[in-house]
Amino acid sequence: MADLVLDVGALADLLAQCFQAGDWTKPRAQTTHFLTSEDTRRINRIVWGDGRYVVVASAVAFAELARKWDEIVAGRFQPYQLAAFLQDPPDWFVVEPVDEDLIPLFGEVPIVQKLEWPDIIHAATVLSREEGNLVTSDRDLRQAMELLKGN
Amino acid sequence: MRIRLLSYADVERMVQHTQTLEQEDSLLLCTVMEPLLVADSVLKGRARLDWPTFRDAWQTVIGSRQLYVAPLDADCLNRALFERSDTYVVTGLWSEVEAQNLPPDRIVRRLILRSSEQIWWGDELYAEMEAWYEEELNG
Repeated sequence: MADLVLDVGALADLLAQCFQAGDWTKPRAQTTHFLTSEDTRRINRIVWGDGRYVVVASAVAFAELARKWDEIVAGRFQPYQLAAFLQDPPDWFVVEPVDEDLIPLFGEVPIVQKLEWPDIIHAATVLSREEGNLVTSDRDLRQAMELLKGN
Repeated sequence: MRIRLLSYADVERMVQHTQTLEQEDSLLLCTVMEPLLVADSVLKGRARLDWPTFRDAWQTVIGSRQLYVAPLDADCLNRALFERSDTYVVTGLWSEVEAQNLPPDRIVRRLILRSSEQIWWGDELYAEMEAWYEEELNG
């Protein structure tokens, strides 16, 4: 087990499920385009677990969610729901800051292909956790994480 | 004390010339995007520095100045991501961040510097940042 860091697509899919369930304190994650069955199994173990591990999203994932709201959210939830979630997130969820502590970790991420800086932040956020895994469908980001694990 | 907002170019210049950092009477402030984008250009080989040199230079810069690096964090998102009514009810996303045609770093800067009663650096820095990057965007 480890903390799970979500990229923006995975974050949007999980938030949509939380809001559709009505009670986001104990959602039951289900497989979607951006969440594989393995991802949902790990999320549910964290949500329903003993609190040792958390689901994490970088603050930059929320900025990206807002920037591409129509494309990513696609009417699945409303800004007031997101605001309520951010104001009072559940115990199993953490918003990780983008701050100067992240800069040294930024340099540890292997640069592959078209990895853009928001992707590097997701990877650096994994490194900021004592134990962490990334949930992403981005091929370059997955490759970078595999290289990191190999080091 | 006067506050001076640092641009990407300012931060890049400072890490490239740590030997000649000038004394400042102002408190320096930059968003976290500035050092991150310089770091990104170093990692991708677009800068004149290698990573260890950049890392050490950045430490020198933040160690020798009155420099505040404003983060993007949960407080910032709560403060800046939404439009609210007078009674603090969320009425929608802040229109300035729902902007797919703009690069993501511009959105992060907007969120960090958005004017609010909760920030201590006043309203002018947001307008200053917007003017810089609008000029850059329009070439």
